[in-house]
Amino acid sequence: MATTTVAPVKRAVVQKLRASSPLVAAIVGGIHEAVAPRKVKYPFIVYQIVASSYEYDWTGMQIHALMDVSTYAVNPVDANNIDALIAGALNDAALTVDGQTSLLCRRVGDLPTGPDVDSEGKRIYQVGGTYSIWTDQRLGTP
Amino acid sequence: MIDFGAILQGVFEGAVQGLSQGAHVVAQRAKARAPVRSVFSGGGQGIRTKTAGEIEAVRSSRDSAFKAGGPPTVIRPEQLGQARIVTGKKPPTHWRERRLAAASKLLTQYDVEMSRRRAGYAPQKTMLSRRGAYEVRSGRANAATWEHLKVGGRLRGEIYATDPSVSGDHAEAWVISPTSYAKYQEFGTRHNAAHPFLRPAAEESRSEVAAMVAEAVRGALPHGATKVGIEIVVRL
Repeated sequence: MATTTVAPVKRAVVQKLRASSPLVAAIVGGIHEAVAPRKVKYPFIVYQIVASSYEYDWTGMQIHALMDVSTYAVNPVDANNIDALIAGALNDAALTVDGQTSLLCRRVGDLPTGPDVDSEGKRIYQVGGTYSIWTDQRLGTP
Repeated sequence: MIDFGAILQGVFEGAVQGLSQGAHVVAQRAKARAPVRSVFSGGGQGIRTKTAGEIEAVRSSRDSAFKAGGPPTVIRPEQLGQARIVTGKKPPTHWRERRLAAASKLLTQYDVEMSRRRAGYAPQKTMLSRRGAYEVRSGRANAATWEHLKVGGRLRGEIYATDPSVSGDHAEAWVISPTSYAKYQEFGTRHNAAHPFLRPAAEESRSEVAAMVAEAVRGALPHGATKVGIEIVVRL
């Protein structure tokens, strides 16, 4: 059986975020990986894998991934509210990961980011957190 | 009589020593992962390892230079076709030009070349890339780190590990990137994707740091103590 990488983990996180209807209603600009296009409306979510290490044992493999999920909004209240919704959706969530068993999805820290100014001169607030995600998968016989 | 206090003290000092080594491992990994923008034209550092064919092509001259006590061969990319041997004890000129003192010279050369091109002359190579010229002009690329005074590589050059600070039975060491824009690289911004380098380095080094601390503790134990149960918590 072929092993799967961190890509299904990212898909599972996005699915879990999209399954939260208050969150989907709050984010006008959608969910983007790494960086959002320039003309996307606020607020929106950006996620990115920070690190993902593979731990092997005799029968299986665990992926230990760290993922940043940030909210960008034009006012800090919206940013913090959406960040709370993200934390509610992801913290201790059981993710549905293709080919893998979800072991852990937990917020392990906040991002120490402050307001930024975008290309139109608007003050943008970035609020987010780092999530530790562990999955397990069985290795096939060679 | 066994002095357990002295043994524990020795074990703790060993753990602190292991922690210090571990912090340097994390710092080295962070440096290797730190994003460095290409400031110089010609790609990378402007130096690459020669191919086997190029080495064979200059075998005789290299042998004679080596017998005369010459240094290793260094060839600039544009001279690779000629496979020239650089001898003498000083580093190549283009290495010296990458020092901080030469930043204005590099910029002048770039500006002169751009004026020439605008006037219709055939383009010639510049030391700085277009992005590099912008970085030098804005002062961002002029890095005065404690490694070297040089142009470029500031983020990487400034990463360092602190010595462990001990408080009671607790010791901690920090790996710090003091560069002002380090957090934008680590966490990303509205305009730029993140290029994390500190947290991945810590994650990759987790088991290695724990092993280093364990090894240092083992070394600090008295001879003959083979089975000891000690709980060590390494948080990264």
